[in-house]
Amino acid sequence: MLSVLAILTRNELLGFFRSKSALFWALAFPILLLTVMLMAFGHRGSLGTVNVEFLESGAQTSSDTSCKLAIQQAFAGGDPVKADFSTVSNTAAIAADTVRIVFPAGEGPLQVRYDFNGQLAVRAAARVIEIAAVRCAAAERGIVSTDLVHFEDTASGAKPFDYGQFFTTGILVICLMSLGIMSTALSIASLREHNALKIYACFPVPKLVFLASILLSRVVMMLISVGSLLLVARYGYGIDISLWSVQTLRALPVIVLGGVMLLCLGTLLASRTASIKETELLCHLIHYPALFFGNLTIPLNDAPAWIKSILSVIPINQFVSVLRQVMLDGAPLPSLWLPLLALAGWTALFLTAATFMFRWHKS
Amino acid sequence: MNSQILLTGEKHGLSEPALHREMQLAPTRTDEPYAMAAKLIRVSAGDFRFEVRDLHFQRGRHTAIIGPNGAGKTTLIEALLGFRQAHLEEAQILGVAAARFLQSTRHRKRLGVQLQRVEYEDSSNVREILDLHQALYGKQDSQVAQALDIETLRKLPYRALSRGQKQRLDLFVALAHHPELVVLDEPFTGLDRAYIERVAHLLRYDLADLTIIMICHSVEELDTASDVVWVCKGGVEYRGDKESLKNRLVGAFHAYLQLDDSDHLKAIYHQLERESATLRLSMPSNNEISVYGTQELDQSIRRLIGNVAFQHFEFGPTHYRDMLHLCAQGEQDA
Repeated sequence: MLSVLAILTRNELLGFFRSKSALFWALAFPILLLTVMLMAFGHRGSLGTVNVEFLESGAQTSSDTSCKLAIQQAFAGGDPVKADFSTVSNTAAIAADTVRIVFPAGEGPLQVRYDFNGQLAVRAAARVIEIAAVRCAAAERGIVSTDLVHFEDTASGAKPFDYGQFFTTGILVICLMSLGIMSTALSIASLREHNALKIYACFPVPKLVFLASILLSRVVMMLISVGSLLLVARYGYGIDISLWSVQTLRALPVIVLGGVMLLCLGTLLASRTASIKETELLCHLIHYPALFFGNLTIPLNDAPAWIKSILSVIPINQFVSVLRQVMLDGAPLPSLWLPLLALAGWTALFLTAATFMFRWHKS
Repeated sequence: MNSQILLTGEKHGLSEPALHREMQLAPTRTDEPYAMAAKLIRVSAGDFRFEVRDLHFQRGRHTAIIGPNGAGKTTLIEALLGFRQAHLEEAQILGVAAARFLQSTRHRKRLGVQLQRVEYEDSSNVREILDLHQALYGKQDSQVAQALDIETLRKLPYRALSRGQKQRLDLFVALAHHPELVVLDEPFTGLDRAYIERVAHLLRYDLADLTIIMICHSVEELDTASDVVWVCKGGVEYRGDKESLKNRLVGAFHAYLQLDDSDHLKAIYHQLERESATLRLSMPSNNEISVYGTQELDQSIRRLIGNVAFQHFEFGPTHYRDMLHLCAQGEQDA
């Protein structure tokens, strides 16, 4: 029976590699989504990038030059907003993503021009410029800013929120959902709708071996998909995820457990459906709410506490939460025994229900 | 006017002595003479009702299931194979309770099935399906492979196969392991003339020892069968040997008469109605008569020819095509 399992699994995998659509959704789409999300939100705690323009004036003093340097240094850390600097000579209209700095000709104040109701990043950049300019002016008058305001680091140990890491792990779970729920369920539904499952039912192959081949092949697909996403995230976009460490090794069983849970859920959804359309509807009922409320690419930090409590027991939310704790925060697996046990419980429940409910035929 | 009448004193199906005789003639390999049997099969879905009692398919015979579209031919097969929710009493497959047979991989090795409208995954290719078959059954008959020319398909992607090529692949999957019981649903559908002849030869000679149950819609398919189950009007109208049903429904001879004089035609019609040789009489139009009858119809028609000048006249032996045509129309004894 092992040879039958091997051939069924091989056939599924070969079909996957031949299907352009499957390859797109499993390999290209996650990277595309990560790219778009990073372009929209940036990486670590950054609100994005703003254009900062210095208006060229004929008589620039040494104090202007030092203030200009101070402003540029203020953005060097990229926190909370990054800046691209340029010098302009004309007084053309200011774009929505731009802050223009005009040095005074005489004793007047430094002018910071921007849309007061514009983008958050632009408004934040204007405040950074304000602080830098005030410090610069204070220094000219012999006042050291640290004598006036002192900042103290109360390091809590919590890592700063990093959009790159958040998106990578969230999209990783979306990949697994796509392969585990959508691809599995639609594949089974398609075989059933086209009567191929009736033929499989007449073959001397146990139901469990048939289901195992579908699950096994998709676990392989998941690992390929996850591997390619992590490699691009780490080496393509420089996201701070250590791939070759014990931390990643610890994340592997979590990824496999979560993937298998999603596969079992996909099999359960397709266990009785009569058509591809019916299966699609069921999958979408799970998939889209998970995209919005799964804390995958949309942070739910500001959700009311009672909503957070409800969401915390949903399997997909549990999965992504455990994954982030292990993969990003370096939490040891034994400390997460309760959520891991919950994931294993969901998996067992979905698998048992799928095995009992599974039908080869439509009626 | 389009009336027809079947004049016969026979009852539906074989009489008990005839059945007994047939059971004795049929080759048996085990104590159980039936390949498939059920005391009762009852299916209901919406308005559709299907019920049959004491149905059995003999081992070592090729049985054709015939009947009109929507009569329940596929329903009957699907109920027995467990693809449909049905009330089954004492259903057996190859001597094993049907439910147990279908659950056991050991027993399912003894079965080969070809169904209509089966589509494997588009992204698969033929070689993978053949590899799976080999792994499942451990044997592939070269005669079957040759007849279906399966090697020419081996390297093709499944989505590139034509309807006929897919049918050849499905037939190979059903037949190549020489199962004890083969279930075929319209096996010649989609095949071109050459392959119809090859598969007919395969079934009639090379696989003659297998028990084959097939749903038939063509005379070529029917020609490969020895027995017939006629499914009609939500049940089984007849089960038994093919020749007996042909004799009962269409007899030995068929005549077709065309005459311009409608009064004369009606007189002939009434005359034929009174003939004991007439089995089935109809008027397809106002100037046509079609009549099926026994051997004696020959004499009756000869008497008529002497007196009347027909516009068109045909006379000859009946064929299984005639029987299949009537059965597919759902015609019953009048």
